[in-house]
Amino acid sequence: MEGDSIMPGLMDKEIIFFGGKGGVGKTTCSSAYSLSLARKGYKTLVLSTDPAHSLGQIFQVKLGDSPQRLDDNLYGIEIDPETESRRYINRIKEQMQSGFSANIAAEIQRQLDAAYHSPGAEEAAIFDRFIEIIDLVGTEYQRVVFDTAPTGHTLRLLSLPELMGRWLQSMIERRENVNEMMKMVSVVDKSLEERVKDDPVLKLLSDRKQQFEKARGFLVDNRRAGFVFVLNAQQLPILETEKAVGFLERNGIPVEGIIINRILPEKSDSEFFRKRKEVEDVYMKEIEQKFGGRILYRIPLMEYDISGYESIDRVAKIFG
Amino acid sequence: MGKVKDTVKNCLKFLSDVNRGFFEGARENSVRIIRKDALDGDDYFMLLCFSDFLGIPSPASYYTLELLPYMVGELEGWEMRMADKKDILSEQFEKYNFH
Repeated sequence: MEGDSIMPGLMDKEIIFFGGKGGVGKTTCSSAYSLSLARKGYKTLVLSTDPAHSLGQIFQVKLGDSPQRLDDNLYGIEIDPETESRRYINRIKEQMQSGFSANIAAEIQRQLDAAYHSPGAEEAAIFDRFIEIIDLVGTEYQRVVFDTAPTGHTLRLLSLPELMGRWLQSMIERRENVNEMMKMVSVVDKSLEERVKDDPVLKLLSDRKQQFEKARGFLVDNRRAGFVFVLNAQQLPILETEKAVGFLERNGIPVEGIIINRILPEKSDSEFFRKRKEVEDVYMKEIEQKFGGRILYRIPLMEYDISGYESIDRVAKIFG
Repeated sequence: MGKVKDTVKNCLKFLSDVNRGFFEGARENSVRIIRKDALDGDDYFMLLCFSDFLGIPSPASYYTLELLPYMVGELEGWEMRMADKKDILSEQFEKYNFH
């Protein structure tokens, strides 16, 4: 039983995100979709942003922070927020000059160590890696597929550029304002001159802001990026997907459509499955009603686990 | 004739002294106010960046950490000033010479 594929252009997008409620089959769909892209000759990178990774497990390969070959034209990464933040913190430590009091040194050490666990650190770390990877699109890789974390986590991640962008803007204005005043005073107080000249703090803030703008620009560009939701014909995945689609659209992030996963077979010898199918039919109608024209693929429930190359391949064929 | 000239000269000198005194005083005063404003502004900027250090969590603290190497020199004085802020009003009065 093959799913009906529609919507030309999905595979033309350079970046596709797979999202959805936990356990609906995001990793299955994103791996199979990536394999399908690779088969078509696109050099593809598939990466997982879910801190509880399952991408490597499905390919039965140990994945890590740097790209690992999965097949011809296909590479995989599991982003590890802790590795990311360690790299970031170490860079800060290297830039830190010595020579301040023991008190302050101890406090800085404490703050830097606490940073791994500060609220938002995980998303920020994942996002930093995301920005690095965006730079590889079109050069190193022709297609990038994101296997994202369950909805809430991912929506928070995607709203980061806007949130942080606004925050950065106000920081930059404040800093410029202070620098302007210091410049005036530096006519009489030369000690302030140093501070205003080529202010590295202002530069760092502006660089960050630019990065966020770039990421945001990518996310909202429907010629280059798009979001695909995976759901099952069940109540909660439908509700959550509906909410998430609304959220993304309000934020200008293009939603390509949805994939219905694990559809029960039409015919069954068992009374139990006939009953399940009836329940499913109700939800299938609801999905039609809510997402009608946006259903991209229908993937049947398989008689085996999707794990290992062979089984991914079977799903990949549905994607064409 | 010479007496009148001297008087006029003295008057002019007096006026110019008053003038200089007035403006220089005013200038010194405004520089002082701007300087205080700038340093205050700097303190508030630090507060936005490193409120974590004072126990106030900030959603952006991960990203402000990279500013630390460039601001660490000011950190100690800042923490002391923040701990020392007893009365914001009197500080503002002080700025404008209302004691």
